[in-house]
Amino acid sequence: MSAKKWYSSWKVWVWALIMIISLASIIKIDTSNGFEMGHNLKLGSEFSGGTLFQLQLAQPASQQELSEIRLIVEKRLNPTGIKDVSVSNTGNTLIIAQVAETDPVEVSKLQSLLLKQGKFESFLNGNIVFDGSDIVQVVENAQQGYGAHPTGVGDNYAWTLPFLLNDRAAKAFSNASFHQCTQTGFTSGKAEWDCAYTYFFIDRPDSALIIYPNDLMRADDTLLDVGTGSEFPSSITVSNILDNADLTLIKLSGSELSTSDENVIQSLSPAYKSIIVPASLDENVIASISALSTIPVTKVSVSKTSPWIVDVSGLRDIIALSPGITGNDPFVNTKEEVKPLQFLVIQGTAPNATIAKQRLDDLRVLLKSGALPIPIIAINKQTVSPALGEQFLTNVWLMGILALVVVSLIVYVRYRQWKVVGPVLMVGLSEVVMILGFASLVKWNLDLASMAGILAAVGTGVDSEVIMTDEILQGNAEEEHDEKGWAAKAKRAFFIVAASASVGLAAIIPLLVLGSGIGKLSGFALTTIAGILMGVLISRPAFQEIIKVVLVPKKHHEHSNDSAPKTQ
Amino acid sequence: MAFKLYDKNYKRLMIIPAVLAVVFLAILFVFPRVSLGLDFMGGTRIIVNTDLLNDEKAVSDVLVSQAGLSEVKVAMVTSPLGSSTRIEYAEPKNVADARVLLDKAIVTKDSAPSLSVENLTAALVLLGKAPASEDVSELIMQTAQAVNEESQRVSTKVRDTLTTNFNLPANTPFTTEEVAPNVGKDFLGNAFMVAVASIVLLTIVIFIFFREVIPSLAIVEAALFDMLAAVALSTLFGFSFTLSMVAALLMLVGFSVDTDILLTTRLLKRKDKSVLERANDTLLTGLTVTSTVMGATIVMLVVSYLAQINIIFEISAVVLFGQIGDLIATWLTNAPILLWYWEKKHGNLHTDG
Repeated sequence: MSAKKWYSSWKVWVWALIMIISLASIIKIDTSNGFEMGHNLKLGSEFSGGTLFQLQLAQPASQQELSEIRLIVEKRLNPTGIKDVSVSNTGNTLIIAQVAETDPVEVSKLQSLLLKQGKFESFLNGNIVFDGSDIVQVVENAQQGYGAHPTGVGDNYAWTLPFLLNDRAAKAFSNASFHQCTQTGFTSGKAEWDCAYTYFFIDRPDSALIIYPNDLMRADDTLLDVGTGSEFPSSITVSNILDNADLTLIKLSGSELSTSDENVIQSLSPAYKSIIVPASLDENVIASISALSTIPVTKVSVSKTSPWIVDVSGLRDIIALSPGITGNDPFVNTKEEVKPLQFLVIQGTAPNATIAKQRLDDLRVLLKSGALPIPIIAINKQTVSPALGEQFLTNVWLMGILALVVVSLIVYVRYRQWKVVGPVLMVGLSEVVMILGFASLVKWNLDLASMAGILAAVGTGVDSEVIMTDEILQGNAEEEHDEKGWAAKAKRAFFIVAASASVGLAAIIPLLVLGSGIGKLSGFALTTIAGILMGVLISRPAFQEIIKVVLVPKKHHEHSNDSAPKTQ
Repeated sequence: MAFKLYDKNYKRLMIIPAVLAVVFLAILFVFPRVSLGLDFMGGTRIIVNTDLLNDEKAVSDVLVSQAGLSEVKVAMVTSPLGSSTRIEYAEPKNVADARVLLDKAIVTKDSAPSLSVENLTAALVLLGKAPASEDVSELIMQTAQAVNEESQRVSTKVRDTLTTNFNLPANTPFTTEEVAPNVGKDFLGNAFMVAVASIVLLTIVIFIFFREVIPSLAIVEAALFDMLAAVALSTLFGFSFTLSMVAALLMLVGFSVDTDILLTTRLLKRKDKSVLERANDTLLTGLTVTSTVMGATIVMLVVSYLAQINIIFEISAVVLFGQIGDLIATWLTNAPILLWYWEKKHGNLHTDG
């Protein structure tokens, strides 16, 4: 190693390159808005506000079970797919779910949903045809037809989900679906059919009266018509859903209950379990309902993106019958001649493989009533208000900046040279950037513990830099005049740096490998390890080159740049 | 600027850490004794950002009398970054007992189903519920749900009690953290395993780098002393042992061994000056290194305390205590051991090389 100019060292170039990559991955350049920092960084719920659930499974789960559990947990928290929910697992007994919700009442509802298996029901023409307990098995075997295949038309995929009904339900289904298709025409020699729909519900409210304001109903019809991101056919209307959900309805035309409405409420049979109203309904109306009846009033909030009736009824999917099942094609004359099918399939096409897989997953979980292969036995949770989350972030920044100032001052007090402080700060900051870059590339969720890990990694970095600086400044007079002496010092300094980094890694790695059950600390382990590794491999070698140029007197450069044989 | 800490009687220095080690052990196991925190014992922590909960005693009294809690800790912090009150409580006894029974029932689910059913029934009775099924799996579900409902009911009650008694506005920011006791127990087991693996692994790595028994052991000893000091001092200052502390202890290893490695390298691998002079020189470098970490840690400690960022507050307190331990371990134990080792091997401490 020779003291060439700093830019002639490949170590500095590698460092610079990694820095550019890191910056590019965390900064978004937008031509209209200029720069946007941290656009790729995912911050944990502690910073954005939200709730983090840690779900403890009764026993360790296999990889396949884990992915099924993650899917089901997501469905339980986010049945209509409109909320911001992320679900992951650490180790094989802990599932982590993050939701943006912070309202304690809503959080507590979610917590109950997490523990509860749903009740699946399928309706046809307003009557229940089978429920979760009638489904003997959901077939997940490709040999029996399960899966998705390209159709050969564009990117389209056809998917198939077979399932097995018990004998009783098969008969009931066959009866109810008989001749439920009508032929609408012929296209290129093939008959076209218009068939009745089956409606799939989870936790449909049983024996409930709903109070449905007219304007809300109109808004819901519009939402259903334009499509809601759900897979409901666009011809479905609110009244179709109401007819199939077996709910008693009071349409509210004005802002008050009419006399006949009041009579209906007052004379409700005690068998009714709830009266469902929109949460936005006038408090006075709710009060008068409570005054008229002892049946509990349930408020369901109104969302802008999902029809209220869908949230109320627990409607999850609508599937059209096919003429093959209904006895329309091939034509079967009487109900009695139809052979009840226990083995049924749900089929559909999707514009691409991803959507096809998603449809399969959704329906599979739905038909299994969202049952978990392994029960959840305990829930930890952490809720942070959004206002506090923002404060946390500001304070972490404040902390980082103040810490840097203090470190700079201490380094200055020790060496009395700003030219030493500069590189220490610059390289220290570069380690923060590299860790953030890494986090954004691997899409790591940065929580408070990860931030602590960043501070830790940078702290060890500053330590190493002080040691390297000191090694260069110390040493005997002979070494200072000799290029070999510089190299020896550099080597010795780097031995110390490499040894401390290795020991630091040795201490943390078990946390990442064995500590997967401690979900809270995995962010800390990952950022610390990434920081120490990148530090010792990339930024600290570059620092050594830079500090050498800063501290070695000028004549040594000239001397060493001379390619003539050394004479000393 | 140079210190002259080490002279002919350097061995005397080791008395201080030896005495301290005994004191630290006494703090951990005799008085006041290390206590397990929320993460391991289970329980709930609520941080309410308001200045309305300014009477700690009143808050705790109201929660005991109206929300039915038994163990409540309340601490209020007022700072330029805002006021907040931290409340920690354990679950009511019936819920905690029901959880223990649920845990037992899960263990014996396959081996002794009837015993499980018995335990689950007892758990449900504690929660005022009747068993809805004979089937073990369904009973486990029912009990888990009942425990969860009951613990949710308690946390709602706590919040309502605070809101009504202290007239908290509806938009008061709350941070809540709930840990189920059985999950906490798993965490503790896991953390213990991680700690053992860490110590073994770092010992191996140190041996690979130094290949000499006594100096390597001296570094390992220093790392262990740091951890001991960190846990003992934080216990003394009233911290209970939490997951953040586990992180902090592992982090501490990274911060503290570098001074030991620096010292060992300088004393054993360098050949200029006398070994005593080298030890004194290294002290200065080492103090610079430790003071940068300490300076940054104190900043973190103060800001996180004022802003009530609990996890960072705990981590920085432990790291700070550990750094104090490291000053003692490195300069009063590791250095004398190395000088002694050198003396046995080479003789006079004052000669060069």
